Amino acid sequence: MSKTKLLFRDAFLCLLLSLVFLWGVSNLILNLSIFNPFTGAFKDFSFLDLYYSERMEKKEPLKDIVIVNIEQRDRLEIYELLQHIKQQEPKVIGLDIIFAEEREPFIDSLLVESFSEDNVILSKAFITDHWVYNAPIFNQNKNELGYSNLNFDRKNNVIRTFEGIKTINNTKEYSFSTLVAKAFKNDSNYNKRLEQRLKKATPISYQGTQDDFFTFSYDECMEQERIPFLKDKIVLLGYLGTPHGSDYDIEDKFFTPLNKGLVGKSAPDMFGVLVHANIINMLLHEEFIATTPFWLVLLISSVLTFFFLAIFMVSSTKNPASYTLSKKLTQLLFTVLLLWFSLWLYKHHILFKPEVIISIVVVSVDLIGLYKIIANYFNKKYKWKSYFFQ
Amino acid sequence: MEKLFLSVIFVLLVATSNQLSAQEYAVFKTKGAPVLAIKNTTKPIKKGAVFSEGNLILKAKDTVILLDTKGLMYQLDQAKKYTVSEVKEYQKDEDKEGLSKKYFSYVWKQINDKNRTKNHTGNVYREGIMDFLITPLDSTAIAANEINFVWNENTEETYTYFFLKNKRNNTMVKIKTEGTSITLYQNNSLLVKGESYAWGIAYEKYPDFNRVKFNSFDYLNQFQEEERSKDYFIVIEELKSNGFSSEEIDESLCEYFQFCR
Repeated sequence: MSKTKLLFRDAFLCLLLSLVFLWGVSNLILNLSIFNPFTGAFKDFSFLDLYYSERMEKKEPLKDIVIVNIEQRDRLEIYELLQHIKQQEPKVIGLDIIFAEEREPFIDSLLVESFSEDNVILSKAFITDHWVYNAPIFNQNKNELGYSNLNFDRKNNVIRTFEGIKTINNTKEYSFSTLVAKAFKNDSNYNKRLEQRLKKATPISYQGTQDDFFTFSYDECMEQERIPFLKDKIVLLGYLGTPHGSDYDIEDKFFTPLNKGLVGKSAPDMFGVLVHANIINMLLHEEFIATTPFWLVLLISSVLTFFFLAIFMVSSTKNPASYTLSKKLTQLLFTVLLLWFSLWLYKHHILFKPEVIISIVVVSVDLIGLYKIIANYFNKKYKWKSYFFQ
Repeated sequence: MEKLFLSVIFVLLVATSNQLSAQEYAVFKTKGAPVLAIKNTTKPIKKGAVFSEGNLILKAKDTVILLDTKGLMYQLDQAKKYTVSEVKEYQKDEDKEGLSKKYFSYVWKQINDKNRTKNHTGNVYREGIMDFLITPLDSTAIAANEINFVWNENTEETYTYFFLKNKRNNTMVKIKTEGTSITLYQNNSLLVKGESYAWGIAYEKYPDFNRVKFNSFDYLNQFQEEERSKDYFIVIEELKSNGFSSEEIDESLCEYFQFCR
């Protein structure tokens, strides 16, 4: 066998060795409780969060959605707020609130009355294995009810994806955001057109934080008789902290990729209604992020790793003195450049996760030494030929 | 030729109408007390307002962020008068750094470890607001001829100082009392219908008013009371049909809607 063929065969075998090694290590880390801190640390981590945490996203105007904070107001105050908002003639009103039980009959009946129009969309939630609905009195008007669950990924604490349509207990259910966007677009084919996409976990294209959306505190909204900007807009009623926008209030607040703490301990950064607003904005503009299939990621990882292994196998024999330094520099540069490329693709709405490729390439190149030891052992015992020992 | 002439006029009309419609702005954020002057009237610029004519008048430290119909933002922050047509010259600075520059700057910062230093101070800065007030609640509208002000008892102090501030002319009345309530009657000096007031209490003769909680209320004249009653007409009728007496209706309106007759 020629030396080149031996080199390619060794690169391929070393690649297999690396994949087995990585599979073994990842299983060990996932299954042994002693590694729980590492599992926990890496579970929520994604290199691509840098895109948002370092504010690399291109800001788009957010002019169709207005969010009004219900703070810790009681039902009567929410009723008054709703009446006031209806006077401003918004196109759609979405309530990210669940009135789970009946309270004072008179005030509850006022609220029911205020839900009577078709453009009011209510929410429900699927908690673990059962639905949490509004009390039956609030559903008299047969308003559309969307689930307010942002996604159904119970393993991940960071809200990166959402599911717009979900079949639960053999019933097709629509998310709150999907119903609000559909009502605003007034497009009967909306669900049909996007059904296949919305059935899958779809990456959320975040466009803004509380500073970027048009938000009103309860008092800001109530003290103005006329708010012309609200006309024909989507108005979402939800919780944005008490006082309005408080950084220290974590009720209904979630971790998102916009969190400034990329890794380590940090506080949740975005209120649920703002996550809904981002999803709705994405649905309105139909600017979805395409996900690179895992098989393609594996294929690219294998080709790149094979290529790097072949180069460093040659380098380890021809330039042993500079081999270690050049290997480390290449690993660093490769990681930095691949991450930049992934972020660039993300900017163009393609989700290409670099973690798998980086880990396979970096670990494989470091396993060349181990492969040499194994090749040497087989060469001595079975006269097995390799690029290193012939 | 005639067709061409009409086409040119049509194109010009469309272009002009586009130009005009682009000059409508919505108020996204405000800081300070900027005002909008249209002809002979001026009104404060509030979040959510939409306007297409007039002058924006900003004083020192005032800021207004506006949004046009395309969603572009404009920031006005100099103390001067801006005409609506001038606003387009103040487009908010976009973040012009591209992705590559931001990313490689981030990598460089990580290599240099520039973000590592953090201060951890284990203390709390808190200013106590003295809040003993019970009724009238904050933001109440009152039409009754007498108002009973009630507050919680502070057992450590013998005397309480009651303060009533007229919000229009910014004058304040101070009354020393021993109890936990005081009743004032409508008259032509202390409590005048049609005015807005704020009330609060303190246990010092000369308190720090930044630490005194004040509840505001509007003291309605007959016309204002009638107008306000119209707002609650449906609620009042609903309560009547449910068998509530006039006193009970008044109590409910005062308790739930902060409209005390």
